[in-house]
Amino acid sequence: MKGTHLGEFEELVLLTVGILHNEAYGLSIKQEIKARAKRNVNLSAIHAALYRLEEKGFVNARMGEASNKRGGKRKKLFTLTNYGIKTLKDQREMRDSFWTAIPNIAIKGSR
Amino acid sequence: MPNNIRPKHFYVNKLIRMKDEPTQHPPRFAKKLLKWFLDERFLETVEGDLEEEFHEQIESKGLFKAKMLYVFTVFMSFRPYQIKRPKQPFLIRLYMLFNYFKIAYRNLLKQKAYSTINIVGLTFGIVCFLLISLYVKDELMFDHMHQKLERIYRVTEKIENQNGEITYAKTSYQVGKQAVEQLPQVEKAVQLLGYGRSLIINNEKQFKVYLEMIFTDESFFETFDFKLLHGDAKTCLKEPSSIVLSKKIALQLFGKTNIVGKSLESGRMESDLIVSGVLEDIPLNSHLQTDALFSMATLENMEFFERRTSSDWDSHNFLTYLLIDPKADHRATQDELNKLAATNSDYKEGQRAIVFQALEDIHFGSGHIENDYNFNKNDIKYAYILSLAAIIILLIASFNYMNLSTARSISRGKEIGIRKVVGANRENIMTQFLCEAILLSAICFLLALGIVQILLPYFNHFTNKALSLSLFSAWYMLPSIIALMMVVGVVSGIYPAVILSRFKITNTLKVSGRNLQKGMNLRRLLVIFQFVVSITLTIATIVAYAQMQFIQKKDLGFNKELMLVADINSGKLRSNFQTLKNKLIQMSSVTSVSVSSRVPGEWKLLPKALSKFPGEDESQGHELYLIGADKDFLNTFGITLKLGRNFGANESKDSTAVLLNETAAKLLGIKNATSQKIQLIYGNYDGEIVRLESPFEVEVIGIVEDFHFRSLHEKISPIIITYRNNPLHAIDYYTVRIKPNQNMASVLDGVENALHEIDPTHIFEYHFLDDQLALFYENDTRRAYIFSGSALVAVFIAALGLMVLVAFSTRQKRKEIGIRKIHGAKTSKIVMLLTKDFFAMIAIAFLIATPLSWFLMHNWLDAFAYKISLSPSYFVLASLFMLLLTLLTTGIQAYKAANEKPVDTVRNE
Repeated sequence: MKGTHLGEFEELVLLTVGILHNEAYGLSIKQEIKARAKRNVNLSAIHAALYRLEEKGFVNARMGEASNKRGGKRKKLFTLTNYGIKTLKDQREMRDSFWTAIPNIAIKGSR
Repeated sequence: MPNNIRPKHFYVNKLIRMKDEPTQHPPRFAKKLLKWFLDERFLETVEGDLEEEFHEQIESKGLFKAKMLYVFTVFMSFRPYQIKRPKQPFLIRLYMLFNYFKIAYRNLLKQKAYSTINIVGLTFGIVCFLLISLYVKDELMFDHMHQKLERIYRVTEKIENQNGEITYAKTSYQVGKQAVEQLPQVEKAVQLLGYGRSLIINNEKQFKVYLEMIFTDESFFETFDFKLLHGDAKTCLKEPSSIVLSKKIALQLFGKTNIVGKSLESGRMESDLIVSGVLEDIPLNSHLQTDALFSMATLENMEFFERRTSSDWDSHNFLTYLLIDPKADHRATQDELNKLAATNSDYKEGQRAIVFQALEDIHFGSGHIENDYNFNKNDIKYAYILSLAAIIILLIASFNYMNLSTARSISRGKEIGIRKVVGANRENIMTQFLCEAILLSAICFLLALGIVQILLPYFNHFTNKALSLSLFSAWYMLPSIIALMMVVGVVSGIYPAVILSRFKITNTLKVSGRNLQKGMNLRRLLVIFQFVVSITLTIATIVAYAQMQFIQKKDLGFNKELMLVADINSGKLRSNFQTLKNKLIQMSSVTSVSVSSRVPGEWKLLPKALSKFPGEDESQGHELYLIGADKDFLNTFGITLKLGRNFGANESKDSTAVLLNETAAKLLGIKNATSQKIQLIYGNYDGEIVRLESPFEVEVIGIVEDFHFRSLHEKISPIIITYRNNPLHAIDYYTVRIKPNQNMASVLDGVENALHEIDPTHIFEYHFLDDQLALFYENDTRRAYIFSGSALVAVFIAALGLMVLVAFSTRQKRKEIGIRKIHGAKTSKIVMLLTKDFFAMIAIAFLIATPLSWFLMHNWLDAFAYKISLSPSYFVLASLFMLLLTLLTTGIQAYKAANEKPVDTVRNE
């Protein structure tokens, strides 16, 4: 297995896979990210991120159905693995622990 | 296809399409590209996602933007993880690669004639290409040995006056001196002053030599990177009476180079000279060439030097190079210097412009500059034409390979078929044929490199260069040769590879003649291209030859044959000229002797004199070229007197008489020589104006017919022939007309003895006038040779290719010929059938080559003021030559094939 580090963009894609549940494939993930994070990402970047996530074992993939709109090509659908869910949780807990460690003054001061 | 026979599913498909299938499609090339590089594991999903996005984008953003995004995303998908990987394991591929080379090698051996022709053709092409590349590279790298190249500028001056516009390579002393003193961005000013030639003698060993005296100071070595073998660059030109010699001269005078501190005697200096340094011989690809440098300090306190330097802003006698701060703008500096000069100068506004010429532009950009110590200057146009010729010749050679291997495909068809049957895919076959081409190219390159090494000395002699080809002389040499080898291999191999790998298994395994038809059109195009190049170069050769013949044969208005011209550098020989003349004329081999300041076809500076009629203003006068001569000048040179009389025997009486040539007479409006008075005001020695104290008044006593005293590149200019002792230019040459059929060695001995009787120290220097005149056309002759050399190679390669091509196609058609003969076809018809294609191609090639070569040669001839006109006969001659060549190469084989007995050809199936 390659490194288990989760990059910022990878985390975003992984979360979106979770949101879309069973309907997550390249294009739908791109659109979801655009709707939620207002980020216009190139499809090829999503593909690359999904490839890495699959390699690291955060997601599972299966082939979906084809349609004329897709030129008769099938989708590759992604779902979170348990390991992927755990990693997301760990990531969140680590963030929270950082947040609680920031003294209130620092946050208020910046406002 | 009529409606009623359309298959049923056609309508069904159409129906489904109308209902469901989108009508817009992503760009086809992008889709193909994606399919080409994307690994199959990813292809389906990526293609699907992209297409779905495409259709969604059409709805929201429109078709154009959707297409753009599609293409962009395809390019972005080019990521390492999803690029196609070769299917076969690495080791197998490596093994196959070896196998390809092995098979290629066996094929080479099996088809010896075919391989030889391929190798010979390609090797010739590569040799030609390498030699020309070396030449062009050397030309482009002219003066590039200096590290500060980009900061060095030569100060030239553009002068406009009533005689038109002239650009001088030299400027005055103050311009250079004040530039470095008053303009902070000018770091150094190198000033070089030429002072004619002087005899330099090593008293120790009694060796002597003539050297061009060029004076400069230590800034020379601070600016230029010429290497000193001995001596200190900082100080060697500082002290008075210092001289730096080139290695060549040092060896001539002392037999060794470590001679710093030795003293030399000069014929023109009172004090001895001390050798302060020895210079590595200046590379041939430097425009500045000198064998000796004298320290400028030597001249200080000399009267003439004072005069030339003290407050002189206007004359043109110092070759000046400025080294400019890298941060400064050279144009702004040039403007500042122009302003500075304008405030100190006598020139009227707009008359003089100082122009900086970058050091790297000097070699190719000095065509318009007169008198500039720059003897190798060239026109960039020829560098381009040569490069083009090199590439075209290499292409022709590659085309041969292409043509031959595709034409030969039939014999390889079975091999390809079997390879495919056992599982080779198209890429494998292509790789195989590329390997073959690369192997061939490698062999040819090795051969070519060897041949180039052998030819280089001759080529260097011919081009007057010091070229060398060493694979290790620079880091980029070996890689670029290998890269070139690969390029030649791939260029010549790619087309056969594509064609051959496309063969269907079923077709290749059957014996069929149809394979030959594959690529027929492209092959025709390539042959036409070869014909075009061959015809063009043949025309160029014929025209160049005709022009060089024209120059040889042209009546120059004087007789250049059998003329011995001896240079005088001795006061004794000048003053005792009458005694010497008498001695020479007594020699049995000599017809006549003349003394003159210059000779027609002069190779040194030819001065001009401003002449005007008395009472006229100077600005109404004209600058005429000037030769000082004696009464034997006209008959020795065979110049015809048209009107009036020649100089007479009475010397004192004729010392103010002059002759004019027709052009000068016309310019001055003189119809008949009736002792018209003319005043000569000043002499113009290559931009250096020397005024006479009072006008020299002369009388026109005769008009001579025009003669070509300069090269045929230039129109005949007005010239005035004054008497030998005139205040403007002293005599410099003895010209001896020799009787035909003499032993030249004894003539030379006789002349030398006569000279030595008067001045034993004098070194006898002589030229034959016709040889000297040929030097004017050295570059033209060289170019003419290059035309004919390339023509020879191109025609040779094309002929080789043609021969093999016909051999293949006749073998292919043996059966057809047999059957035709059985049905009663005549031999002539069959020969016609086999060759008519080629004649049609020649006709097309001729139509293309004619305007092309007309343009090329018109341009070449433009350099001559006197030239042949491009008559149609040259073009016809070249085409006839091509036709004949084609007849020979194709006709004989076709005739042989046509005469075969049908029994032999039709029997086997």
